[in-house]
Amino acid sequence: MQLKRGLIAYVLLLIASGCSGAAAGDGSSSQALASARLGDASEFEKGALADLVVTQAEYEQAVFATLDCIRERFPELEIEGPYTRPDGFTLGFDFVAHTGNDPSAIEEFSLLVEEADECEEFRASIESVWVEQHIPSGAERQEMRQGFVDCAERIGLEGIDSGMDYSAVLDAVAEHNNRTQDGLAYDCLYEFEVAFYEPFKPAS
Amino acid sequence: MSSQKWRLLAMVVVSALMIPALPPLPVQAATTPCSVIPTTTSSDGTQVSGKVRMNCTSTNRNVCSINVKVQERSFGVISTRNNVTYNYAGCWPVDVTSPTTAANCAGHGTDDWRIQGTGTDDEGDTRTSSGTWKQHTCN
Repeated sequence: MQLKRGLIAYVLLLIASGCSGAAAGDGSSSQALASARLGDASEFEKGALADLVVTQAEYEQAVFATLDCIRERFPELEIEGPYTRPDGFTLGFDFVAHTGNDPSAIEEFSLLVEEADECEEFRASIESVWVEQHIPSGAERQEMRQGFVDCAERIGLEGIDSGMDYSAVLDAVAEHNNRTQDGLAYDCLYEFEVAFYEPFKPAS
Repeated sequence: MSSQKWRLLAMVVVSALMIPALPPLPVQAATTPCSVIPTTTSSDGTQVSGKVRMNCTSTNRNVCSINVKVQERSFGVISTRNNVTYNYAGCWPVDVTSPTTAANCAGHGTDDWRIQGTGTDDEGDTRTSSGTWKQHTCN
């Protein structure tokens, strides 16, 4: 079953990413980030970051290695996923439990989840570079930002302009959705949000 | 109807019967049907922040609480820089986003950050989901 779900997530990711692992921008910020991460990366991460580019296959391997690690070291944790996140190019997975509304049970569950963070040694830096590779630049970035503005206008989300930073955009989307409860503002955001991410700027 | 038309109809029926039935899709028990979607982190150089959305639309459930953690990974070590729980009295909302939760930068330089969200619904099911790791520079 897990293999089947993994396969579905893989196919979704292939479709969402247009069957390539190509960088959306010019690649300079993601390569600079990969270079910066190599210094303190785990041995597994170094394997993917050595050529300063994370391929789709390397990203998927990182996520599956993280999941394998969690399943092996924390078998008591129930995992759902992997699935393609709303951004369309990263993979997520969730931990689930029936805790009741008992704060101590929720706390106990949260502590176990926190322990599983040790398995992020297989994924964190690779995902960070993978995300960086998808941040558009130049005309594409501007086009996507305008796409968000147009989408926002269509659903009645006002006060948006293409020059806003991600935090302001998110505030507007969350406020709108908390009021309307229809999810439409988030549909717009998820489609275009990567154009609002700030690219890595190496220290000069 | 002419015999030719009967023959054609018979061929269509036989062809349809020969198509193997697709296996049924696995049905997954929706033990925790509400989704928890942390946002990507954002930063102004002094703080890193984000929100968590919990969506119970179409589940007949409501949101009771959302916990937001702002996490930083530095030299391979993950630290929770802020940890706030928002309780929704009476478990009223169906699709709600937490307020912005921010963590102050602990030092200078570029590290990877993420938001981790944990939501509990009114039937006592809890889900934890993590946002993407994203680099941020603290000035």
